[in-house]
Amino acid sequence: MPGTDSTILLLTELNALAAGFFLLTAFGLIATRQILACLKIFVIQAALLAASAFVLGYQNASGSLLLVGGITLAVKAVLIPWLLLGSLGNELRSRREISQVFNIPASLLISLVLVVFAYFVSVPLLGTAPGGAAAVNLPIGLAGLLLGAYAMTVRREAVPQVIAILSMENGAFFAGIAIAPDLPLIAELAVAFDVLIITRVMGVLIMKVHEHIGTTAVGEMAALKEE
Amino acid sequence: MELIYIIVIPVVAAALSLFPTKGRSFAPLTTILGTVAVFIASFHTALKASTGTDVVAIKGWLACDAFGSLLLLLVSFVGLTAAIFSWGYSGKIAGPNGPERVRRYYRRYNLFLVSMLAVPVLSHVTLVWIAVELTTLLSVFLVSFPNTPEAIEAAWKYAVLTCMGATLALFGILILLLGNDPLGRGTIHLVGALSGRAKNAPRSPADRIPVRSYRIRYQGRAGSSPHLAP
Repeated sequence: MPGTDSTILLLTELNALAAGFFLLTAFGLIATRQILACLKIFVIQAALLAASAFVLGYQNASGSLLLVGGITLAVKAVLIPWLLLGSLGNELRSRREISQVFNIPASLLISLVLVVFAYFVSVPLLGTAPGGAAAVNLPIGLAGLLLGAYAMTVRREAVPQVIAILSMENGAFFAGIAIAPDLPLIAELAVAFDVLIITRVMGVLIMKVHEHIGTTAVGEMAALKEE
Repeated sequence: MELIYIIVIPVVAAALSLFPTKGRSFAPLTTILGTVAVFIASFHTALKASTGTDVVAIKGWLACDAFGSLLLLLVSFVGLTAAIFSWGYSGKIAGPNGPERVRRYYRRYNLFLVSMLAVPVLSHVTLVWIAVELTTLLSVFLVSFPNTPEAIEAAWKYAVLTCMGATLALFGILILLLGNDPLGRGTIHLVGALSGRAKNAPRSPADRIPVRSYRIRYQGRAGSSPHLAP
């Protein structure tokens, strides 16, 4: 348990630093053009989420938050990339550009608007927040969630869409560790397990898509579109 | 006790569906019998809950109030009718290695049914979220079952959209915890929260967001149930 005021200040600043980089990686997921780079940025984002959980866990002397950090690191930074590389290695390493609905500068501008919106929405919610960390984590977590949703919408490739969904999950948890720090452990474990199943199911589905349609550019699947 | 049967029966039916038999009718018959039993148990639960007292099987884990029992009744009824419909559907669409694929269909169908039934009876709000998420993941391969390009496309779009929705709902749950209980202990009754009878009365405007996202989830789910056996 940190004793002096300066330690608390340092921990708060460290958390804010992790949050800043977290937001940066969320932008990075939208700005990158290669699939493998997308995965690398996702791993960095998961590590930053874990870092924030560690800092907040130390600050609040909360064992469960420290464990959340550990689980995040193990599942999102190690197991998920390993699963994705194992089942879809060729897809990930293919060096082609991910096609997007909007070009990248336009996407970044829209992302900026989304971040401002996230802050705008968070302010009234923060009225009931328990501590100072929520003021940093809630808006940035919400921004991460919205940017992930945006990335998922504009990407036309299967693997980046899955990574975007997982990064949305990162955003939700980034807010969650600050606003609901004492979530019971079983819930954390179940969510980690669930994320693994998502990755596995989506991986199998991507292989099926590839097998039947011959590509993983899911944006080209338009047979079910209404006229 | 009924609530335990409601969860266990489809799991047993899923295990039995894997049993390799010569004829094609073993798995469908097991599933239909299972869903009939689940429907009877749900009806019984609904009768009990309609008196105003919650039906509690395992305190803090498995419980059902009046609104939850209504959902339970709806899910088990649709589950029963879809199981009957599946008899013809799965046989017709199974293709070359038929019996094996039919068995796989029924295993997935029963597991999907468990996840659907778990949503109204689980007491812990984060476990409810897990169950909602599992309904998606377990039904994806039911959607892609016909194995045509259209079915795969539908499965992909369905999986992506519902996973996205579930993540937004996760955020909603976390906000609900923030609004309901500053310590975030998380043991609130979902259905109680929906009908405005949460253990800790809602205190902030934040409560409205997750309630809406749940309603949307439920409506989406109700819409996708017929999708099971198109």
